[in-house]
Amino acid sequence: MNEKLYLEDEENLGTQVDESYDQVYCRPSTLTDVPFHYCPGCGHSVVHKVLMEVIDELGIQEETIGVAPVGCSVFAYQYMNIDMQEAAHGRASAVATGVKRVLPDKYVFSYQGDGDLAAIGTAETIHTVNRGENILMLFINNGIYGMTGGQMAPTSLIGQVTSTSPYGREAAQVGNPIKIADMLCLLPGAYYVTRQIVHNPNGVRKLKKALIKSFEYQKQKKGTCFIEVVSNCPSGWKMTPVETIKYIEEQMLPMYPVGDLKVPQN
Amino acid sequence: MLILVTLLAAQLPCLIANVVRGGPGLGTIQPSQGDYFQATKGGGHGDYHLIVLAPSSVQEMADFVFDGFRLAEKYRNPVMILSDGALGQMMEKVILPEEGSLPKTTPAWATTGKKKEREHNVITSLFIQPEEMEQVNLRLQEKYKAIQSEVRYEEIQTEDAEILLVAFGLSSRICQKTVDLAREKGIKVGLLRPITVYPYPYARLNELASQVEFMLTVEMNAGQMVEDVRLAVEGKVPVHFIGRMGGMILSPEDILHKLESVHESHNAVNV
Amino acid sequence: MAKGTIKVDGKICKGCELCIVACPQDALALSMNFNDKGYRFAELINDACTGCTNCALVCPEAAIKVYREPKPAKKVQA
Repeated sequence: MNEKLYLEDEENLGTQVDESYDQVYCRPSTLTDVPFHYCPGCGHSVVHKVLMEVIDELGIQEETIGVAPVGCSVFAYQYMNIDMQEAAHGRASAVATGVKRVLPDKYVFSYQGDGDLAAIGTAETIHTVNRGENILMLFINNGIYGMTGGQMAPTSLIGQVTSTSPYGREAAQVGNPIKIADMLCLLPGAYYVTRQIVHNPNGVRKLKKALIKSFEYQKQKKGTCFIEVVSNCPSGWKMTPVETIKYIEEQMLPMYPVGDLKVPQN
Repeated sequence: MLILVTLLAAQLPCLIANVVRGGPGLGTIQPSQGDYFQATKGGGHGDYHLIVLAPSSVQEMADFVFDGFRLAEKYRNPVMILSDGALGQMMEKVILPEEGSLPKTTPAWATTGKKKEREHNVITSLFIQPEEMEQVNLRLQEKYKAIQSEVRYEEIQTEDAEILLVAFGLSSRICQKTVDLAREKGIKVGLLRPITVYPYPYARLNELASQVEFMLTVEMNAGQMVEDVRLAVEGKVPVHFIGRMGGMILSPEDILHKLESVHESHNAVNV
Repeated sequence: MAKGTIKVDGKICKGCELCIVACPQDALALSMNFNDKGYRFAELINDACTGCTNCALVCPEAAIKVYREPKPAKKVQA
């Protein structure tokens, strides 16, 4: 049907746009031009994009320092066009603490997955929040170790089949999924704890609001803001990106319900 | 060690104080020099070195904090102060360096917020492409070459020495007494104390090897620095060793006794 | 309903189809063509787009630009 099967450089933007139209959405300038290495449909990319959009809109690119984790998002600093540090596995919140204490007037965030934040980095996570460090901790929960080949994570669901739980996760053997955001609410240092999603447009809009709020609270030096994003892992879950939407809604969200878990008291 | 190697590959300046206790394991809480290999030869993965300062007094422990930070900033490399359980608990007169004697600088590579006029700064120890990792290694090796110029050591009565004691840290203090005791008996003993154990004073030890009859390395371990002494003298003279482990400390008399017995056996061979 | 349109950067689109699911107007589909990574990329298939930005919000690659016709009030001012 098509004579040419592959795209040429000039043609990759498709549609012609009426000149009178306003541009209402584009790639934020705070993202570099490097294309994401993530698998098709991965929630990491969406969170990267939304986070950078917020930094762009708030105009705090020069004031923000991020800390990248170990895991799929280990290369977050290649995409986020801000000053960034790469932490050892699980230690992002400790590094972010250091950065924030040296530069208390800058915005500092850590970005971690569940294998990083909720497994090897549990101690750092709990103590950072307990100290009420004025940072934003972003926690991407997809219930699996994505980078290393889909192994079971502490957040994997009961019955979830992974490469290290081929017959499904059993609570008797490896315990129940850990709800780290709920645990952190108990700590006085936690100022704002919320759980969000990115698999539908409204979820993305709400995440954006939560991010804006968190940076605002950080400016006011209120304490730790913790945003969990229930995300997907099409490759690790062995699903198409569209199938992961159903899985999140039917399996993940009953365990990790969306919404604010701790909001400022005033 | 993972964190240390991460700091190193990311070329972050930092100062680590290692007050060594008897090991391995949880071990004892008494002094030891058993971490010499770990401090100078690695212990983490990859080709790397720390700059290692070995104080032998409380004054040096204080001074080396400043020297350590200066070196760390200059070379963007972690520095270790290799002390031990006795120095760590010792009370001595000490003159503290003046407050503010370290310059506060913000280096260009620091993550202080991306300015419009520059690219974003990234501090990472991840170089996933082997070609890139090799380049990082080559740069590190260049740096270690430059660091060799920072070698520091102290010599005590080496001018006319016929026997040389080599010891660092606490052991070198004990050896000073041994030197006095031996000289009272008419044995011409000198002492070389490496102040930096990385970089190591190989060249000076090699020179002294042409002057002395033999060397005796004194350490509170099973014999770790003795390997560096042997490397330094290149077989010119015999290198002997005396040490105790697990938190035990040698007395000056122990060392003198060893020194005399080695001296006698050498004389017996020579006769 | 406002009229809108989008531009998809077919070079970086990975064909995950999340935008297709998110589009309330069913105005998107995967192209029959491939980009140089071997992915079929998303493209507009009709003129039902209202510029609601849903597709762009869920796009993991930040590959979609959204355009909308100006609001009538704005036109009067101009």
